[in-house]
Amino acid sequence: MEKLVSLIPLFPLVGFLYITFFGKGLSKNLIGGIGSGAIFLSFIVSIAVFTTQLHGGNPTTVKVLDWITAGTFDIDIAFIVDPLSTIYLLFITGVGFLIHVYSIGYMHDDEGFNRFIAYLNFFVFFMLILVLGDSYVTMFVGWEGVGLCSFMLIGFWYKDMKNNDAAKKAFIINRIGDLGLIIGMCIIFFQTGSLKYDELYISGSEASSLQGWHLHAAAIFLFIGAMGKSAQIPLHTWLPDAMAGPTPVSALIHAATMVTAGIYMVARSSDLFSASDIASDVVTYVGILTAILGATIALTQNDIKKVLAYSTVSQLGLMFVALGLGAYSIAVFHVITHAFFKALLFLGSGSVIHGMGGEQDIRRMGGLKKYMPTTHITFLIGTIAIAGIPPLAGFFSKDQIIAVAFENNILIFVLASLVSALTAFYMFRLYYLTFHGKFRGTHDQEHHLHESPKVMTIPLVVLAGLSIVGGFIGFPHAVGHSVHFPHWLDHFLEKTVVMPFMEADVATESILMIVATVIALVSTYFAYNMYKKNEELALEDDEIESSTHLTLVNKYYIDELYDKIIRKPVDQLSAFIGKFIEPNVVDGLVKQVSAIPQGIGAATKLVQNGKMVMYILAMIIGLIVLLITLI
Amino acid sequence: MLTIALIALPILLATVIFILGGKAAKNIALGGSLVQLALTIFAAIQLHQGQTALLNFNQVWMGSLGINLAFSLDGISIVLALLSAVVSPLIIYSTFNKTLKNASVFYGLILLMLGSMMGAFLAADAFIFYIFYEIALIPIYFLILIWGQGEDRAKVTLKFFVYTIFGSLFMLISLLYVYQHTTPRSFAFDAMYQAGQALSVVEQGLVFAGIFIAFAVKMPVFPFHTWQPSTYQAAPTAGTMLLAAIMLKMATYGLIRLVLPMVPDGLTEYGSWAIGLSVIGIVYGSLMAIAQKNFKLLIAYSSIAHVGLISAGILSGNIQGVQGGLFEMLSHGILAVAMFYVYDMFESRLGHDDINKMGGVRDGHATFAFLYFALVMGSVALPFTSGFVGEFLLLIGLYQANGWYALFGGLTVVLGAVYMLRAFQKMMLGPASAVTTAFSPMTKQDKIILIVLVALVAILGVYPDPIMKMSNTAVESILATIR
Repeated sequence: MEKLVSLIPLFPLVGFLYITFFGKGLSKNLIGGIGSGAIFLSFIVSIAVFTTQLHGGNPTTVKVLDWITAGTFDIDIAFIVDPLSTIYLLFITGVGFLIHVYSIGYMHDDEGFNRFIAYLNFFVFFMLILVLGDSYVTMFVGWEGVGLCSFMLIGFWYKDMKNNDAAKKAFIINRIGDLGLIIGMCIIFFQTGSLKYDELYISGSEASSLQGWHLHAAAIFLFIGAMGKSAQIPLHTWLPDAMAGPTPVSALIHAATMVTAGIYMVARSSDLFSASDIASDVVTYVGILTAILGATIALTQNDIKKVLAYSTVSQLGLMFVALGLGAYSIAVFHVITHAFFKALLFLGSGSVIHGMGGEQDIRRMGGLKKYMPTTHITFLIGTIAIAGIPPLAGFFSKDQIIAVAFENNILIFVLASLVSALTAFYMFRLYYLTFHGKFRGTHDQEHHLHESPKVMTIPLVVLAGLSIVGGFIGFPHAVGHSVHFPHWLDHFLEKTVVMPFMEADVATESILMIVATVIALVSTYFAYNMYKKNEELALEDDEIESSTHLTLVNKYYIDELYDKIIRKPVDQLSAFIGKFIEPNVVDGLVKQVSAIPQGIGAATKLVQNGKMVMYILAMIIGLIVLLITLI
Repeated sequence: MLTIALIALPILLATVIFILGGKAAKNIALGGSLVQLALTIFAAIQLHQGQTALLNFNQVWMGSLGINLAFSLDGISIVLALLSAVVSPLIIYSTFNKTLKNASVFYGLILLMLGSMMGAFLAADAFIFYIFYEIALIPIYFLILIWGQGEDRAKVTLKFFVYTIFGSLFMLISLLYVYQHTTPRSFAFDAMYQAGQALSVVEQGLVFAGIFIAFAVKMPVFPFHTWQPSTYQAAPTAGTMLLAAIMLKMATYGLIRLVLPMVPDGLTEYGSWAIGLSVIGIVYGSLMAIAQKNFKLLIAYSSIAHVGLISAGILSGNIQGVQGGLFEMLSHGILAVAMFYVYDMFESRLGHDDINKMGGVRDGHATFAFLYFALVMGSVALPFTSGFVGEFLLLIGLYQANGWYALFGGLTVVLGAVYMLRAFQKMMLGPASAVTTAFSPMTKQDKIILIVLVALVAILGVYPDPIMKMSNTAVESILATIR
């Protein structure tokens, strides 16, 4: 059964190749069918492979191809089947399939339809390699591959240079992270002689040879990789710009799957991170800072996709908080629920943008609920889920992150609760401004408002369903124990990731749940009061006066800062080297040296008849003469 | 005998072309290079099966001096032989759309150069290596002088020529010094290794310095590189391809053959300056590439960065570094031919290679955009392209020498993406423009060459193992002589 795993990435790869090379002239529906069909097949096989693990199968490795050999460095293309990889398989292919179907409707009138579906298939292929690889190197194949697809899809509408710039920015910032990851791998290989998970972690012996600063450095450098891919401070700035791509891309790549690769990688390395308290602290604090930064910026954004993008940054931060506190399985839990509701919200925003004829500014929306009933209801469900209101999915996962914080670090607990409150507020702000009140767009837009076709709304409905029930795979421990409803996910993952030590009793856990609920509800009420009851509107750009507000709207001016301290200096340094150092210093030295023989050369001009062959002949003759005299 | 055939075939064909001349020259050259490819593959299969009878040749030449005509094809040489054999038909074919004066001389010189480079790659005797290493200069000198571009190319080629010869002198002195310590006198690699290792550490350090300077000029490594961009610029595209794809590999190959096993202690004790310069070259070359607006120069400087990494990795002296270096030579050779071909496509269509004056080409040239983008990805070392395997192993190897080297040299991962993506976007993307219409569709020749190169980049990236396994044993045995 496990052998089937090789088929899972194969289907999307074949889909990509087929559409790219033979797709010309086929109908859009057929192309869409091939693209989504490929992912659906992967989904079916993923379920089969997942079942083996569900029934207590042992983690196995399936080798596909010898890949790189260099002495003790011996890496295969091989896939690992274990609880962590199979749970990722399920939601990548499941959510991926829904987004493919949705794209058939969303991209229907785009001239690049074939290319789009092909790229999406290619992306899923690499994402599957990422989670299936049995070593850091194989994972890195997927890691860079998804970055490539992200680049191609952000810049999908390549005629607009703004999109290309966003794509380039994403790729380059990710590469900074990747360099960290590479160095991390170098350290691990140098110290342990291996980069395969089963040699490093499952047997437990190899990783333990990582000691002292090597251990901390290895974990921190790996985390730098995660910062890039999962948009953590200071490498977060690419993600909001990545919204330049078509909305299904934002849903699939920049919310549900690729950006959670960093969480996957840290969870995969849980033995390493749990052994390094320094690295874990770094992860926690970077995570919480990012969570706050994202949430505060999201308060003031007016582009529907930008709000969701900063929300993603913030939620990813919370996941890293869980990782840093040693609750690896809970981070994975939040990855899964987040994939459901954030994909739902993005696809919902896509439906809105579709209906609004490309408009993304929520100040030009309002009152959409009567025009787009399905989009409205499903978006509301997504909003409730992310806001952390029980019993929807986001509540369970987020509540457990906050509970872990409560047990470990009271400061983090307070800050995480604050993020939670902000989340509920900005999401309901977004919801009310979009779907309630009066329509504020042009007359033309109002005239064209329509609900999206079924091919788009059905995925919304399915995701809404998952956002409602998804949380029950991780019912709180103590309370769950008392009502005989165990935390299934923790139980499932305990074979592959280090488990947190949980000591909360039923009372503590219950109180924390109530506190979290109250925070979410109060925050929701504030948003309701402001944007629904008092019908306040978001300010136009030139109306903003408060400097705090301006700072937030301008994302703390971090892009401007990077421009000043990194991009411009590098360009200036390049120009300086090119204009001055190279011709005057480096080549200048060469000219000085070459001036010496030129003086001598004048005397020997007779020999220099311009024929280079003479030089060589003279040289060889000289050489032989030299040899003979030596002997 | 096979090894001799691999060297003799191009040289004999060159003679035939010189004598016959005429229109058939280019077809003879192409056909000959394809035969060469077939022979090399045959040799690779022999090697793979462990049948080395045909792969070694040893004939006394100047007996009193201990110089033998000794050639041997092992797991290291085969990588370079394959590289030459694979790219030379492509380089020759890439000129088919050009009208050349004295075409027969042109193709004859290319074949001569291939023959002499093959001689260097297969030599099992230091003296023979040196001779072939130097002789290869003559044909390329004329190729640039006669068929090159730019008014000042005579000056440029002279600088290239003198600089390289000057560098080689240091190698000659080093080799002679080691030779003097052999008993009985011999230039055979094994004898030279033994004599070299017996030298004191200081002597080894000096011998290393001499050899490295020669190779540093040829590769080139910072700060010995200033001849390179102007020479690449002046050379006809085929000449640039020969220089970048194959010729500089004689130097990186030489590091494995003549430095690691001959003066290992000198390298370890006094070699860090050379690794340091190589690493500086990685960043320096990348920054220079960022500053360029001419595509050909951009590729030239990026080559300095890539070669710096190869040099640094090999000098780390561990198996990952050397294996990575070897594989990166193969990959870099293929990508260099590809990138200079892309340059030529733009230059011949637009009459310039200024990336700031391009854009929008993708519109209506989807296939070309796809192929060019695949090459860009190979050049930034994305996994599943040939570029990744070498670069990753080189960094793993370099880290073992010194973590800071790997961190600093690893900046190529970031900077490479900066200049390559910028060039691609400026040339290809954006709204359709006058450039879009001026860029005529790909010809059959363009398609064949680019598709073959992209296929090679992909195949070597996904399945490098057969080649890696072939070289692995040979590299292990070279490194074993050190201990």
